[in-house]
Amino acid sequence: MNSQSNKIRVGGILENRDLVMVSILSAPNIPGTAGKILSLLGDFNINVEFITESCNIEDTADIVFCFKSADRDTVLQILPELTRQINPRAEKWQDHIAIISVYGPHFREKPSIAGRMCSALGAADINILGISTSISTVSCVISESQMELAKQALESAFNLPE
Amino acid sequence: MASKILIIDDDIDLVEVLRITLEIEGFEVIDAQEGERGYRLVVEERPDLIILDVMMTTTDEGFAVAQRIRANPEIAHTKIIMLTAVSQELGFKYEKDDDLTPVDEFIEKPILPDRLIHIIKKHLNLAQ
Repeated sequence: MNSQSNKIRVGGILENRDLVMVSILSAPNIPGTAGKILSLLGDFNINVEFITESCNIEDTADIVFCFKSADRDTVLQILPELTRQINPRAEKWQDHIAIISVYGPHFREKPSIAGRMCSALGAADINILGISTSISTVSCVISESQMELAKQALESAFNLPE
Repeated sequence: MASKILIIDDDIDLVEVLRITLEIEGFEVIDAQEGERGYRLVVEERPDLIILDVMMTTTDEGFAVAQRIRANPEIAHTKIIMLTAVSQELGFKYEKDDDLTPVDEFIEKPILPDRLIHIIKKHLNLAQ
């Protein structure tokens, strides 16, 4: 399965290091919740590098975002206001986070990219903390300490340009 | 044979959007995310037209690439459309200059797909 001929050709691998991940857990699953969180971050000029929202078994919302650690103090400062506005059940703060992405071309026509990426990371014993996609990328949030291992795993799993 | 377009831009999502737009119109699309590889592709692949970003690894990388292309007689004729966000970010507009900004046209980001196609076809002398 890992021979060169079976490898999917991708455009490349992107690394985004030096991130913090904040999870807003069990927030009310009502219109406007994500907007309040992201608007508040925007008001303080925080560039969000990763956003996901999902609905959990309690029918409440879990909203996760990542930002550069240079903005750590600002986000720490506004987090109390954010939780006051949203009233989630809990927040989780994780430092030393990174995002590794595989990008196109033609990802819309290659259904097995995400599966192969996650499997390669799993086989390298790397736990994925979050997943998101864009029109040209599949991105996985991981611990920054595992970035080199993750890169090696993906370089073996995909056919990359020379 | 389809005209070949090279996109040199480090915004990979924008590259993908442009690729989809151009392929629907029947163009062949290749891409590079930085200037050095982009220049190499111009030499190796001989695209008919290049869509070139200004700010990549450095703030003026696109201009350096354009100047290198114009300085190589074998590829100097290649049409170059420069995509730039400088007027948004810095508040001024570039104008064509054979030495400093040797490109065929400047386009400000964002651009509507129909207008981009119109401009590309104009430079490649293709029927609109």
